[in-house]
Amino acid sequence: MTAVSEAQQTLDAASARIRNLEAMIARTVIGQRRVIRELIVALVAGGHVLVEGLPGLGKTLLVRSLAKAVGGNFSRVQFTPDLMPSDITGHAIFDMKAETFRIRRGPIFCNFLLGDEINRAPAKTQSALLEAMQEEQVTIEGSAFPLAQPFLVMATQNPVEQEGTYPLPQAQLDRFLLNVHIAYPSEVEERQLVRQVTANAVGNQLDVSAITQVITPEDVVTVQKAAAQVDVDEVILEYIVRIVRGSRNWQGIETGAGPRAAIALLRCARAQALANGNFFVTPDDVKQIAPAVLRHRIKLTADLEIEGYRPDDVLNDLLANVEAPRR
Amino acid sequence: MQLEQMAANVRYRTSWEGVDLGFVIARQWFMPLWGLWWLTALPITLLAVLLLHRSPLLVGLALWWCKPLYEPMLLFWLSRRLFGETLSWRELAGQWRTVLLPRLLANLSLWRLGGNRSLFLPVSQLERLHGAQRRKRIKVLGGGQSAGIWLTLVGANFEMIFGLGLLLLLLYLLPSQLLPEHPWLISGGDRPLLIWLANGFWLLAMSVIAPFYVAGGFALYLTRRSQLEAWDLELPFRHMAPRFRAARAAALVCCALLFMGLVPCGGARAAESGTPTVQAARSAADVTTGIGTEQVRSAIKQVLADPAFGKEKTEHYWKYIGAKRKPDEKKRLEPFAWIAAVAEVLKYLLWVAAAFALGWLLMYVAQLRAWLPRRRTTRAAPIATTLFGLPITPESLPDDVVGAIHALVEAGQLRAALSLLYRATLVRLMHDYHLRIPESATEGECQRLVRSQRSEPESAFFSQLTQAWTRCAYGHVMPTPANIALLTDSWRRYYEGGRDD
Repeated sequence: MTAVSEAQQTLDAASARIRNLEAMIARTVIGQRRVIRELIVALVAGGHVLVEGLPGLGKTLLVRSLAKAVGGNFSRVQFTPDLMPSDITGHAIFDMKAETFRIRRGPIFCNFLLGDEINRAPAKTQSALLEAMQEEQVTIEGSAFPLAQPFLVMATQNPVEQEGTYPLPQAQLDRFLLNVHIAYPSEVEERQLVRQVTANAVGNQLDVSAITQVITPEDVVTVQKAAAQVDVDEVILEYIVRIVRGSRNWQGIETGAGPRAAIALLRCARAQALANGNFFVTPDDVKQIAPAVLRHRIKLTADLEIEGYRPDDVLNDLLANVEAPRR
Repeated sequence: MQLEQMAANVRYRTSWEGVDLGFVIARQWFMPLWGLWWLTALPITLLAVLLLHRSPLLVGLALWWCKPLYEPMLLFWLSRRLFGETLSWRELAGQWRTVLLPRLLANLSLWRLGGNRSLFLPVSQLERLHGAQRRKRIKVLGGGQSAGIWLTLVGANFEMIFGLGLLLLLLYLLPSQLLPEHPWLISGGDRPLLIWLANGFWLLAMSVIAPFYVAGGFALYLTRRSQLEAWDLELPFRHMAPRFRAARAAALVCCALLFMGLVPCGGARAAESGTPTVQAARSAADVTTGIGTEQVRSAIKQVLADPAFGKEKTEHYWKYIGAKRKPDEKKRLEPFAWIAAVAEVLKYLLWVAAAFALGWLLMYVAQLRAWLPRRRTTRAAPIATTLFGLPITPESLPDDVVGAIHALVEAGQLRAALSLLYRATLVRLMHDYHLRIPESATEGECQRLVRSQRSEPESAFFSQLTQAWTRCAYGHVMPTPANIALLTDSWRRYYEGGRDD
């Protein structure tokens, strides 16, 4: 077997695993295909997701389903104004019996962490989480503890209630690979959702019994490595840079995306290509994932914000005007 | 000017009484004057807020600076109303150009800080004088009085007190929970609420004071003219004139008769005695009145000496005629001559700085203009004019596309052959079937366009072609010659004959 066909087989297997995972999650999370895809792209690209959506749209269900389908650990932290960094990362406690300090690990030591309403916690606590996300390790009492792999944080923000919140600064937002918007499902999807969730259910328990494990955490790491090998042509690279640079002097954008955005876009485009069953990135892969990569990395001008424009409006405009690769 | 129709009583007044008259007039017609002020000021306010909303301090400054723009309309209405003419809103609206534009630039620039603004406003607006005539008139009107300047100063002070008072009243009435520890803190940050509130109250104060200021200045102008042109004397005479109209005719007839009857007699006597005609006339007067010339003279002197008739008084005052420097004093000051030179240089520097400031302001406004209208528009995605670096025109394709593809395949240039096939397909779709393919369209988007507008078999062919093309272009997987031949056959079926519908 040649090296080329081996790589091809690895990519094919990775692609199949991704599609299985996607199909499995779609069993419980109804009507949010795009959100599922973007979450999986973030997982495959080894990033973290900031989810914005109104309460009750299935954010917790989404992460629970993902955790179960991957067979990883799941933790949930409800961010509140009095939440301390050690409540997330863990701390050292004195063991009276052994007369030694013992490390108590926080909820961050898991594969999938749901940080609910991250903007309710003060900046100090947000920073603790974001640093752990960046470095993939936690330092407690001077000792570094690596986080389990895969590690995905899905932080949520409520776009409506801004009273008493600590909005994430632009620099912190940049650490999230993707910003996913969860919208209301369509009428048909909502009917199906209500029917499915309420069938033989008592109370508000989230039912993820339909989910079976289709991939292991180790497989996820393999898929992540495979995604990094997806072929990227030079013109695609140029296209990505053109989009990101375009955001810097686009009318209506006060602060454009930085080079980290271009890197993120390439990583996500690779994951997207793999999820689409390709072993090379096409302009379509880039264009499909670009809004989720860029929408939290740009800042609209005050006048557009006042007029009710959203980053997606301007990004769609930008993408419609950046020339696609031609060769 | 029909003085008889003036609503105010014309009498001799001092300048201060004139200002008082203006305040009475303003009180009398406050509401229409106030409304008129807002009519001009409100659009300016909205414009200033729109253009300078980022710096509320500049908004306040702009509104204050544009005060000469709000006042002419008030004066125009007042000048008509005081003489009994009532203007409708339509008439006012029709006159705005002739009322506002004269000397607008000068009033908003060089003369903006002039203290006699309200006093001199009628000169340019009602008398419509320009240039040297205006200057002369202003010199005459402004000479020997300072009430106009005091009116401006007092008005400005009242304006400040009123505006500040309203602002403080609001701040004191607000519950302390709603205020930060130091109220002035709300003037900073992203929401300079205090400055906006101050602007609002200041505008209100300006609107309230303006009718009094304009009416005061106008009344002062009338008073000054009344002093100079003796309207207080002219009017009683005009009132007396109708009463003496019958007597005037009789007096004229008497004079005529007297002249015809007496002058020839006197002339004859003068001829007889050889004395001059003047003496004859005097004698004749003596004969007719029975009073001698000397008696008349002494009577006139008595009347003129009476204090009730008038008196002459000599007053002395100091007038600065400039320093008469002695030669040694001039010498003493010579070392300081450089100060004058520095002052001269500074003067030019100030002019340059002012020019720069004006330039900056114009650029700022130009930036705002560029920023305003276009921000709401969404750019339409441009339609592709080139693909693969080549123009997308039917002429850019070889005459025999299929033959060219075969030649490329035979030459082993599979990628070029597939590229030509894909490009030829897009050219046909755009030119024969009018598909609008923007420059930003990806292969997938082209596919969706074709699927939505073309037949299913054609769409299936295009999907196959796109798949082969993307694998080749981005995945670097070359198609086989057989694959290209298959695609070329399909292409011939759909596109070689040109448009089929």
